Amino acid sequence: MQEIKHSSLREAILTSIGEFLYDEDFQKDPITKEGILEILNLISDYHEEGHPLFPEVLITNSLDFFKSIPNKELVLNEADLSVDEFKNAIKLCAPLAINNWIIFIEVKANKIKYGLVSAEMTETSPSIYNQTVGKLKIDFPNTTIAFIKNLGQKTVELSGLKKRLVVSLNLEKPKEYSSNELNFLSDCITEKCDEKIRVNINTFFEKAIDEALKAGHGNLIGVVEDDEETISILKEKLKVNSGIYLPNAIDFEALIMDSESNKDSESSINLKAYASIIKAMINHDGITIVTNKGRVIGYHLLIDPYIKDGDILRGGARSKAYLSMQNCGHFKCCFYKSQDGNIKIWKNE
Amino acid sequence: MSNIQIWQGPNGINLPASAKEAKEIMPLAAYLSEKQKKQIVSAFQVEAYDMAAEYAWKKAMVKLKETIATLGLRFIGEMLNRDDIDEYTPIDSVLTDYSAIQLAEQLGVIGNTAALKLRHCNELITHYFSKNAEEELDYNTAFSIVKSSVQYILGESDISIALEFSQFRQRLLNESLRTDDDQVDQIVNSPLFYLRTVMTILLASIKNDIGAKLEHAIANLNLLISPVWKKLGENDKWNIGTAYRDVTAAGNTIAASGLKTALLKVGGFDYVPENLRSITFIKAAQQVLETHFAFNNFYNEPAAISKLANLGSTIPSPALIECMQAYLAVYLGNSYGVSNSAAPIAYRQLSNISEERWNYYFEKVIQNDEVILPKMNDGQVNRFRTFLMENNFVNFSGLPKKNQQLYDAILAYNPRKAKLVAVDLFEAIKQ
Repeated sequence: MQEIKHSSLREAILTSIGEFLYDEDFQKDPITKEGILEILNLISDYHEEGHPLFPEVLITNSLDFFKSIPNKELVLNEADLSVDEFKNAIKLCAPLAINNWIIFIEVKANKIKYGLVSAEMTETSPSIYNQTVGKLKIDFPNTTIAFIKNLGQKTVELSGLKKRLVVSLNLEKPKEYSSNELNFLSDCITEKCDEKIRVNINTFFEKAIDEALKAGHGNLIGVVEDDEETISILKEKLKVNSGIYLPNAIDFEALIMDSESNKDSESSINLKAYASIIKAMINHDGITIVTNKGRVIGYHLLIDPYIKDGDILRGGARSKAYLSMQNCGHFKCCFYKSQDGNIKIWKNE
Repeated sequence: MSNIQIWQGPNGINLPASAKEAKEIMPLAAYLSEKQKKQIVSAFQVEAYDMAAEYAWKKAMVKLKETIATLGLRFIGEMLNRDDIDEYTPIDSVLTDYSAIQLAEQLGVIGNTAALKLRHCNELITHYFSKNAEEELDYNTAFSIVKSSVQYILGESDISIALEFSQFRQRLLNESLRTDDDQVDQIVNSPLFYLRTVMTILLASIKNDIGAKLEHAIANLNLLISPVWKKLGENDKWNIGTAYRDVTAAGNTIAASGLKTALLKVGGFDYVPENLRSITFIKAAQQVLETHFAFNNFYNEPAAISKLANLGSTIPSPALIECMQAYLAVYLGNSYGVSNSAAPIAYRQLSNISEERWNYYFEKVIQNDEVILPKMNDGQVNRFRTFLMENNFVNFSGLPKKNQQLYDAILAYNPRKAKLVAVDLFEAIKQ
């Protein structure tokens, strides 16, 4: 009889989760470890009646932590700690975790409490992710946090205050992930925006694009210089076989300024309405084109191939389009997200 | 070091102590033209006392408001907690005389005594020029109004923001102060009145500035917040929490991060409003107070207070102080009485406030309440007592010493003691 050796993806991920919990000074009992694993597994490819869902989950040892974020909470259940209860939390809450509501789970000794939380105040307010483990994170006393979000098919991010773990639940070669692509893209889009409000516009684009990406099957965004000559050359010369150039660009700088200076519900709803349009545009096939002054000028643009000698073509149509965007000479910055969550960004230096 | 005043407004020019007539003081009104001075003297001579008083007062208020406006209207909006005021707002249309005096004192345009006397003049003017005033303005009252206007405002050819204040504001916004800086020590040991202004300057900058100014304001707030937190009033703390909420909602992540760190240092997240509902209450309460201190207050108070009352009796915590202040101001009235239609509405709303919240008011708020502390004349103490007795809010104990003395004096209907304690508390805010 040969010696049997068992190699398990589950064991490898459990070990990584254990290390993460240790580094984050989280409760390290086997139930919590397994519970988090189950959530990662569920979130990596979640469907409800055939529809994909992309719920985000925040696990903490104390709901007091939410005091540091202006938010709304909705507690759904409290029970004894068990792996099944982690799964129940996702099943009960995932269908409700839309429009910036996310699932929270409080694990305190042998109790588990869960429900939904939203930090949505306006279209420009930062996402909960940003407020907890992103650029607005703080070391809240005696509090630990683990934030789980889907990055693409079978790929999930587990972030705490100190560590960020990307878990691939398949055997494919790991993709490159960094935390800065969206930030970099938003910086390009707001490069020429009014300095006084640039940070706010940046936050808006970062959140809006992130939300769009969650639900998309893959995306392409191109950033161009905001001057009439460049834009007219682009419209005339960029070879595309389909797509729309908007007769009147959607000017998000103006919309956000209006919302900020009026602070009334009408301007806020106006911004929200246009934000939902840009999210839909980004998720349409083809390239969405934005200027570096926050104006959306076109979408659904299917670029013709611009391939140079020596270019190595890998992947599908979207990868080729991304390469063509870089080669065509019209874009300052190009952003790509594949269906399986791989993100790339290129800047014309 | 203790109770050091970082800046101090002037207390006016010297007028002859024996002056009894306009012609003795008008030559000293350096800000007015010869023609204007003569017009005031002539008005006195033809016994048009109301015209003389109104003319001098208007001139003084215009000058005061112009001076305040030199700081920029957006900053004034922040000082008044009014987001409807921006650089394009004409100051005359948004700043009541009462607010102008209050701001002038805060910014060191006038001193404490000047503010006290001008407030009294304002009360006289609003009373005598109100629709339902039954008596005419007499010589002595008119003369006292003109005299105060000249002594504190019109006597200077060019009153201005206190130099110390301007320099201090520049330092707060252009430098990141260090703990060993003498001025930090001064701030930390300042009375609440100055701390409030310091916090407002920093919050205004954090909300509106960018770049280096924003960085300095954040650094200075983070330096000062721990040592001053306990001295700040409850509504000052709510202002910081609200600013954090505002900048977060606006997506200003640099400001949000700075304020979040500051609040973390003092465990101040309890002062972050959960929603914007409180802002509606605060604005309506501010409107009530503006009305209360303006012309025809008894006539206009019912509409303003009904608007506040119609928002509902469940007052959100962040707006509690402003709402109690507004209801109490209307219920207690002023030296000339109360608005007969508005006071019962105020009474009903005050009755709806829970015992626990009243206890909180007497424990943590009243000592810093610049509106209610001066309302301790005989009639007002009696009304306050009646309210507390009828609603059985009579068992508060263990309050801070002076607060307890004031509460007990009100309950025992001892107006003399109530006034003395209230004056002590009021002065402690500023000195």
